[in-house]
Amino acid sequence: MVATDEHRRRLVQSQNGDHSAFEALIRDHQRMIYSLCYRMSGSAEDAEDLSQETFIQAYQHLDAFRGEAGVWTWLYRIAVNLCLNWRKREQRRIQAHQEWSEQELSTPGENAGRAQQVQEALMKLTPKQRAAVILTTYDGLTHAEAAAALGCSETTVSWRLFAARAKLKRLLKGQFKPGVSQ
Amino acid sequence: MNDAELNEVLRRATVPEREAEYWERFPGRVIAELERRRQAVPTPAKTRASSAWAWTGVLGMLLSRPALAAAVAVICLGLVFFLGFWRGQPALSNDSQLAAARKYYHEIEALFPNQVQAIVFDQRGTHLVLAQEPNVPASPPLYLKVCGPKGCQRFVTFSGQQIRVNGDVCDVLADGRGEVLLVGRQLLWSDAKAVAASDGYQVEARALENRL
Repeated sequence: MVATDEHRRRLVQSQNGDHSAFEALIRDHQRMIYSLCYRMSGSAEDAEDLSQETFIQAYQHLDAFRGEAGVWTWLYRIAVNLCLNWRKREQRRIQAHQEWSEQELSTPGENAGRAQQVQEALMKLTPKQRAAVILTTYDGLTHAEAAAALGCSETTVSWRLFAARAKLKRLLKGQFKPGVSQ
Repeated sequence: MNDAELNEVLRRATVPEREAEYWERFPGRVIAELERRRQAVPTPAKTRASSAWAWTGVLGMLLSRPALAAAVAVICLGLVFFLGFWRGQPALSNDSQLAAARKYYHEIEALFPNQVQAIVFDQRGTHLVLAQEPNVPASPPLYLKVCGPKGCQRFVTFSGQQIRVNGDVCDVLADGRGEVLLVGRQLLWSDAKAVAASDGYQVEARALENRL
């Protein structure tokens, strides 16, 4: 990941109509945004659509970026809002689970199955709780950064995390096996 | 399971990896989609006229011959509707819907300052209508709920904007006192006269923010 200053420079170039600068910006953030969208939606197809829409919205509203937060925080905020408002497509979710099941059968290890169980547990959280967990646990944001991305207070983030983690512990009870790693 | 163990379980669950080709192509796909949308006919950003100008425009429209006849008919129907059915009806909006709309508006306005033309809540979800440029003048947001033959829609919008009610494009106008007029081809509704319009529409309008 390049430095934030470099991202800001690319953003300014994008604002001036430089498509290659915006492409570079996408390249730097696409995996993070895709992962966020995947974990929020539980579907690869939805994640594709949502991450594409995130960058399109970002480009269309480049002027709204005021430089108060980092570029990635700004992109996260757009992505999270899109994910929170995304109409979950049940058919896609079912299809995604079928794909997971097939993958699990064909995968010698247990990783795919475990990942599926974790994703299913995440999908049982409310979208806002899920967003708080994803931003802090997977993407390493501080509570303050997550609050900025989610447009709420740090206290709200802390409460959502508290509730989410309690629920996840119940749902994933028995999943923890010391010494097992990727 | 403690917090550290939960973190470990969560972090073990990786997102299914995409092929390298997908990541190579993705930025180009985004740019192509941007170009495709740019070439589509853009909806011009409609700036909000002053209330006085807006009311004059509506009066002018109403005074044209066919429109006048239609307006009189619609007003009569509206009066009948009001006298027959409207009085005694419970409020259309409940506080939780209004609070949710207010919260949503503040989040969206913070993301896209001076670009929000309307936020639409209907059976299909929430939709944003944004101006191409951040040139939407600041004015008090209005909360509208319109129930018609095809169901109910709720809007956060502003005076001078247009909203689509069951396929009918309606102008939303508000005067200095905050009284709202909704004018479409099939719908005419006036807050000031408490006139509810035609074909079983029920309309409610109020300021989104609490008045002190």
